[in-house]
Amino acid sequence: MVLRIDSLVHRYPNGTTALANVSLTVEAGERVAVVGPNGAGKSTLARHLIGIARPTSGTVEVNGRDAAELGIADLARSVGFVFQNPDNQLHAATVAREVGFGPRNLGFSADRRTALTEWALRVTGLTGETDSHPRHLSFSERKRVALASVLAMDTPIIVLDEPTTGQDHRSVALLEELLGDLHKRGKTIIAITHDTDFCAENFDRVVVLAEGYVRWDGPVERWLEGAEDPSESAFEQPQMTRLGQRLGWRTPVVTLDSFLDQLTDHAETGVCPRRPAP
Amino acid sequence: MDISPRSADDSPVHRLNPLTKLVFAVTVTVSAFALTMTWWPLLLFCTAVLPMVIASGTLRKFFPVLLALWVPIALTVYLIQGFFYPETSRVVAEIGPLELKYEGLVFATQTALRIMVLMGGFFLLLLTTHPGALMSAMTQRGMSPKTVYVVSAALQIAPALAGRAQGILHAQQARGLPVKGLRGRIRALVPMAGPLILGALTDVGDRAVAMETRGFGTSRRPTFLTEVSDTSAQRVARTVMGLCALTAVVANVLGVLR
Repeated sequence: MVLRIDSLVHRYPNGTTALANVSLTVEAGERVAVVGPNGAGKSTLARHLIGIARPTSGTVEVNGRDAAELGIADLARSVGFVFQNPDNQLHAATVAREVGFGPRNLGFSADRRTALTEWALRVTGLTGETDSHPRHLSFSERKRVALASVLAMDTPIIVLDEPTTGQDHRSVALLEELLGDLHKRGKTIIAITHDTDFCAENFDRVVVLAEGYVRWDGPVERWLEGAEDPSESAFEQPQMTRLGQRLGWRTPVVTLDSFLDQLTDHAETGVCPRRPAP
Repeated sequence: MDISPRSADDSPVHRLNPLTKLVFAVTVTVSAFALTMTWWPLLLFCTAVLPMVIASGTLRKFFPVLLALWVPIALTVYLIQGFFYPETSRVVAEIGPLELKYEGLVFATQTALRIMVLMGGFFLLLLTTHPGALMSAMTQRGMSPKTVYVVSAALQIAPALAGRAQGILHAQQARGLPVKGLRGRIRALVPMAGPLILGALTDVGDRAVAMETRGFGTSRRPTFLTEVSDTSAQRVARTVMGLCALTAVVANVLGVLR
């Protein structure tokens, strides 16, 4: 396993308990979405993975090493953290230099640095903006620069904090394609998100946090199909699930692929779906 | 280190009218700088600022913030005044070509203590006062909303920038930026300063537009969502404090209490 969190408790100096008792493990290559209502402790949990937050009690192990014994910059070799707000990190005069900042800090050779920077710019659709000033880009593009700058560090684990927030359709599509590519490369991907459509299409496992506890941990389909009622967890069900329900289908669908499969089944059996209610 | 500007606790000091706390901060500062006895700022800190801090229940938050900001300033003052005090004075020690001067150390002690009183008074105000309450209290006393906003923003700028700097530091460290040691800290300056300054400027611009679109610049007298409570006793206390500050200034001008 690449991540092991054991009985993690995090209490802020003002007394607020963000994480009451969280235990979970993540295997290499898993795609995990961490969801939960506002104030559930999602971001605090993510901050523990990169060492920004330190446990009040309990342990966080990254690749078998206690995160509490490592500095943030040391953990950055294993965990790439894409912050929600890209403006907290953009400082270089060009997009290329910004993306090359992490690999330079990690001491990569010039060849490897160049290759990783070019790859990261390509997969995030920023090749045409190499010489642009990051601050001159749109928010969506700046967010992609932040993502590229983390990808270029070539870490085995990538943590994304609300990656779809403020992103236009093209950027989300690009991100989804990229996550598929990273999964094929064996990367472990953890995302903090509220977006159930994004969850359904891109993740295998969901961890639901509420009031500092893990309320659900399992396959994303089972959660969205009703193992836990998303409506009670401040989430909207994915569009495909809602459409399936409106069509009167008994077997729940979650993703576009599963919707199309079921539509094909209906067409082949000659059983027409019920006309959706207006 | 948590340096958010306000403690969530409630205490008699928290409930005081913000103007009372502002006048208190100004009075102790003026008094500390006006009277020239070396021990005076320390006495003022121990008998005026410290009891207020204890009464507000913010002692655990107050001292880490005060020390983190005051110690570097005090050290700088000691170095500069100790070694480069301009008047001829008694040499306490010699370090290479540099001479540590007695009068310089005395002057540095007095200056550092004065700064401690200034910081203490205003930290107390920040830790126990909601910025909105301070703005409302000043506007209700007839001050221009723009002036009030400038005062409020000036008081909040240090904690706000420190909070933002911490977020930026984390973001850069997460990209492998080492910040340990002198070399690391110097190396971290550019990646820190860029987002900090540009972000702050962008915020100021955004906030200005947001405030204007909600009628901040209107010439009509604003109404208030909540009235900030005030009492006759506090009005008297503010007058007395103002007179004390004035007395200290007059004493300074006349050259008494030296």
